Amino acid sequence: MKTKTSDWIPFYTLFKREFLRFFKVPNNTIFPQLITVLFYFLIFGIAIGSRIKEVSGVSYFLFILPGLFVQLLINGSYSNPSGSLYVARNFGNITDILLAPISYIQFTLAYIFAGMLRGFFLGLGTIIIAMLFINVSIHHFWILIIYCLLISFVFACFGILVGLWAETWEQLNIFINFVVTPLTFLGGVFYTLDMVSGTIATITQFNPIFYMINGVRYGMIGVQDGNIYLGLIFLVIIASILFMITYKLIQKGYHLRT
Amino acid sequence: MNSIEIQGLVKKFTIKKKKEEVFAVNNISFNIKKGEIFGFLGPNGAGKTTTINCITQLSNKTSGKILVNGHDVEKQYREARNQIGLSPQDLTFDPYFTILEILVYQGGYFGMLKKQAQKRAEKLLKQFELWEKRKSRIKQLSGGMKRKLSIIKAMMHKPEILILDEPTAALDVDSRYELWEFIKKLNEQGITIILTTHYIEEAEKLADRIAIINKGKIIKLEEKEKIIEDLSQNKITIYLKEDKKLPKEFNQLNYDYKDKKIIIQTPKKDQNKNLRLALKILEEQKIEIENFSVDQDNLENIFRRLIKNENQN
Repeated sequence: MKTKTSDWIPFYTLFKREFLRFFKVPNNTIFPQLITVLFYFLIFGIAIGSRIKEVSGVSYFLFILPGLFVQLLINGSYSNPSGSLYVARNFGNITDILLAPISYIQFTLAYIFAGMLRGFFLGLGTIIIAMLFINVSIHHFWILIIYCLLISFVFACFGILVGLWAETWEQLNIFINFVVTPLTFLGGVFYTLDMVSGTIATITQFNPIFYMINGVRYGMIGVQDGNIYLGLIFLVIIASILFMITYKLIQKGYHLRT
Repeated sequence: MNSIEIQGLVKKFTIKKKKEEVFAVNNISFNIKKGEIFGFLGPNGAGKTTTINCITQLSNKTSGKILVNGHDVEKQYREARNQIGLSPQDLTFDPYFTILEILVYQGGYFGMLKKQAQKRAEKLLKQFELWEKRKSRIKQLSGGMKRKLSIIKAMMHKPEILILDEPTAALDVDSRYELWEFIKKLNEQGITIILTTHYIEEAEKLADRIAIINKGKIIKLEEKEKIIEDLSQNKITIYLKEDKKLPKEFNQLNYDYKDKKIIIQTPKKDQNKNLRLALKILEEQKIEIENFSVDQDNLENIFRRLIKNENQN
């Protein structure tokens, strides 16, 4: 009578469900972000960018591309697990997962990987839109990939944590609206460190997202404003810590089991 | 052989505002035998769903031990969960997908390959007459259809233990009878069934053994027939031809007399003895009777009396 459970089918099913969920509601999860990016390119890249001389030896359009790419990578990686967990907890269909013979590590990784994939999907969308206007070639492929993997991993973990913690839709958006978005704009999307001074320069130097954008910018267009390897070490440490916290909370059933 | 073994289960909640601890389940121990239909009865808030949630790990128990087919629900949670199918009291479904997609994902969560899951979903949807709705979304289903879908979901991975928490809530009479038949058939195939219900009639019709829980404690756990045999209070009604004063010998019976009608409450096991005694006394006193009847007690009345007595103590 009993069907034997394959160890990885439950993981793969949850991962697939999490990834495909966002294709079911593209007007919420795909198009708004990509349309916003298109407008950034049109206004900052074309309209304003054409009046700005080269920044760090590249066109202003090309200079802002990595920052906008990171913004969407973060947005996608964070929003997928946070939104999905929040809805599943509130609709109650999280019980489908809690009742299933899926290990806690698989549960955690399925949400993280699906979030990362959505981040990559949106990031890729950003590059494709940019390619409508300029030629994009990758300067250092592996640096770019490692940075993207680590950034999306970190923000998928953040997404899970906020998705578990949030009791209201408002709380769900606090992190992205009041932490991530301001830090992204103050993380050198549109400027280099030597273009700013005073408070903005100080905030930028202590802003972790600055180092993420810096790393991606180096990997993508070969321009760097800070130490690439320092950023990598920081990302590995923060990713490890966040993963442990996320895994432990899921194992404990924080806001999942009564 | 037991499907489920519960030893010293305690689940307490802390009410933060009042800084108060409430015992939803207070040190209960019992076993559920393999292949039986186990009726789990109790008033609202008695601890039925909390107990089920502890078995299925939707709730973390405070203390105690639960084994599912010999697997500890915490240490061997994957093995334990693989054995159980739960149709919960609150109907919850994935809002993003169609009925068929929901079931295929459900199969996948339990390790079924996509084709396997599709085949199983088709079979169950046809059996429950929901195949036509396979491309619908949850909001397009009626309450009864959602209840059926919840049971189908629980059965997707062919569990050895099926837990049905209020399975016939929101079902119309025909669907309820169909489901009862279906539960019996599943049980005949060897599936252990745990049934919580507000319809005591349902437990009376289906269950082999019954546990009654009140305020987090098991107050009765017996074979259904034994509970009915031991706790039934049958009612003997004797109609007299004329209104006459009853002799003092009647005091040995628990009776009430009004308008030529004697109502005697008697335990089921003493029913014949007490009926004979009453008729004999009346005959000796030359009191003529017009008719008499015996009303059998049912599980619902027994349940209500038990809970009432418990709450008074």
